[in-house]
Amino acid sequence: MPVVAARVFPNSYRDSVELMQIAAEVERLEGVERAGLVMATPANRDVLAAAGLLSGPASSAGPNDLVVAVAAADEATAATALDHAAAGLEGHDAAGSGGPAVARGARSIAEATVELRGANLALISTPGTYATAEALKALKRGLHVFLFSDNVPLEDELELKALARRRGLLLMGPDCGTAILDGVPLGFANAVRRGSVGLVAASGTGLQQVSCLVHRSGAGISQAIGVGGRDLDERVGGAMMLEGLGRLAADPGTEVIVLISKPPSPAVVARVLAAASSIDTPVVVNFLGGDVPAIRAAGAVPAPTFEAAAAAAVAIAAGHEPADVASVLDGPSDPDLVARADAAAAALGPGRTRVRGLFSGGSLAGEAKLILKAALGSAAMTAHEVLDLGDDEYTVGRPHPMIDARLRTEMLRDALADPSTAVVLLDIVLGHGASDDPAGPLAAVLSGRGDVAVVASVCGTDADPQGLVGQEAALARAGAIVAPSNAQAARLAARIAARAAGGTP
Amino acid sequence: MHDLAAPVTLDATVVSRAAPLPPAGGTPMTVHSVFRCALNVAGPPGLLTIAPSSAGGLPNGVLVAGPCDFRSLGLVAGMRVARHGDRIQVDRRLAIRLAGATPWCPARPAVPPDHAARRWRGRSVAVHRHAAAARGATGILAVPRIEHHLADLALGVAMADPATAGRAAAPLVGLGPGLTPGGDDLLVGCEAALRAIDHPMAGALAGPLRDLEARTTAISAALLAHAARGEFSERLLDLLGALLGADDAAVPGAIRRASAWGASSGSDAVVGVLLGLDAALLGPAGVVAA
Repeated sequence: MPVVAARVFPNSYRDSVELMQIAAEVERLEGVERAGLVMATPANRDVLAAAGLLSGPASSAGPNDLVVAVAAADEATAATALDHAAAGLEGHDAAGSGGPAVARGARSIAEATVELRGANLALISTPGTYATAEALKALKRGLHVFLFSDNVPLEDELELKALARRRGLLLMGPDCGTAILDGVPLGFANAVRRGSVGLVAASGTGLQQVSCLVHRSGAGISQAIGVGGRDLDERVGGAMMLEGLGRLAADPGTEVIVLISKPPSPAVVARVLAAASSIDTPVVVNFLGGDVPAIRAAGAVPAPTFEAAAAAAVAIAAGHEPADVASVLDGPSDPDLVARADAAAAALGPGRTRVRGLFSGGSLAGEAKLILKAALGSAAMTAHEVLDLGDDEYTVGRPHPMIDARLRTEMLRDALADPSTAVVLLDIVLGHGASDDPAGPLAAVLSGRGDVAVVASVCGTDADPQGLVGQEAALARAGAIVAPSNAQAARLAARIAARAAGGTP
Repeated sequence: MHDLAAPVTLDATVVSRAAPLPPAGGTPMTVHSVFRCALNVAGPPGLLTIAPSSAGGLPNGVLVAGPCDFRSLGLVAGMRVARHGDRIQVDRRLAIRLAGATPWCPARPAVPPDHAARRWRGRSVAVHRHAAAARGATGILAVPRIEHHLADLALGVAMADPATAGRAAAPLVGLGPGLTPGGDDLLVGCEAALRAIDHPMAGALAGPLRDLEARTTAISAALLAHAARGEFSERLLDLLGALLGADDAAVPGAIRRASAWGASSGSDAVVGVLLGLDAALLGPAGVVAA
């Protein structure tokens, strides 16, 4: 049991940004599980109580008192954490009356291009309101643009992509989460070896999953171009997927191209497939829910899952003819994992029938839904739930779940406490930009829960900063069944759910 | 740093008609809290905020000319604040001259509901997009399970049901991080929206709230009390003027300015404004999830 401690600062007032910054700093201390800094209004005391953080002097503090509350591994750690918070509050006071000098960097794209001559790409991550103007400046200076910003209006995206195409540039985004260009990772990208598989993706975690599985198969990535989730919308017309396809077709380092997208517009699919059929480089197509006969008719290899796409690409890169890998299916499930899934299903209590998917990756959630639907049937899907916690609905006012696990751990606790839950399905995404230990907080919640099946997959590589092996081991130690891919995890979850409902897939 | 031995005199530029000034010759007030850009003074008339003119009109505020760092004046909580003629004297360190200041009314006439509904129907989605872009990572929307409270509040307003809205508003008081907890800011924004269109639910959220001083910070309690009387900051009034006015181009800037107030108070108030307008003008089916 963690030790909960609190300190009260009477009649002390700080703004919410200061308080959340200090809370985040304290939570990073070793041995500290949670920290909260709030005004001790009754409503906030209730929130602290619900989080298990209300103790001692915090219980009797008043609405004009600032409370610092921590849950830590032991009393000494808790005391250190409270001291750290107190020092943080004093530090913010000091900063408020003067503040440290900050080194001045380039403050505009114009200044940056002077400081870094030869730069050919701008990474833009401003609030959406300002992103279009900055992207236009970059394009007009001949720079490719990686547009991480979201909330960019569709009309602006059309204008930016039209300008990019006229100038022969890439406009990756908006809301582009990942890319790997000439071996340089941008945004949320994984550490993968260089090789001959080129990717163009309108799907952030789809790109990550395929690039990781290619790496884990021993092959590598030439270029991975993200184009933004709306690129295959009818109004955008696949502008950047077509541009990326053309660039990879002309790239001597790319021997096979994988196109990845969430469900695209049929009209755009036809345009992209026509372009794919006109190039010499073999193309693997993974459009979630895509039209397989149309893909085959274009001479491309259809891949129903990210895992299949990676397997097909690796096979082609290794010298196999595309026609020979046209029937590549997802890798067979490990018999040991299947046995563990069956054992977990057999151990479920009565009434536990639901799949609860809590995902940090939107495309991984989308893939899991399709697999569950195929395995369990459309009608049965209404009983199950697969949530993309990276969706705007959940990220308003809080960091993305790949960075901050708090929302997902809370929802995981709820899912485990729900007597109807049979299996919890999780993705853990590693790589640059992701949290230092994505599996850790989830594993801490899972530990000791043998009454609910938990199936997880880790999207990452041995070269990622967090380390694939350690992350998988942490989940396995906590009792999770760890599958080698998202698709296999979803199939295992479907198997458990089917058995829980009385069927045997 | 200012020389603490020398008293400073500032000229007030704007005084809210609803500001709780220290009564001339009456019981002195005391310094409640001191920030770089705001000095709060508490006493029997209420909580008075003294801020630079750049803050814009505050319902409980006196605005003073020029940039000023109140912290640098050596002011601390508990110091005596008294009224001498047209001057407010804070200890012996600061004097504020009220003569020549412009009186300011923290309320504006309502927009006819049918005009407001027509404009809001055409604008709501774009406004939400602008507001989301202007919002930071902290604030009321980061509070776990807040969506349930907001859904109940929207439903109560949309159904013009004071009991439902009141039940939804009560747990928001004092909820959330910050100097003015985000739930309070949201309620103030929602009240401002309802007042702006003369909605039958105007006053029904903040008006019935009781024991505010025991449930939230003193600063927030004061602002909720003003909201219950239909008194709001100039930023909120300007925002509503833009949202319900004829000029589409004025909307993004007004949202940015309103959202930029405080650390998260501005954007939480904007959440409340949008919730109020959606619920009041679009009805239960048209509420856009905040």
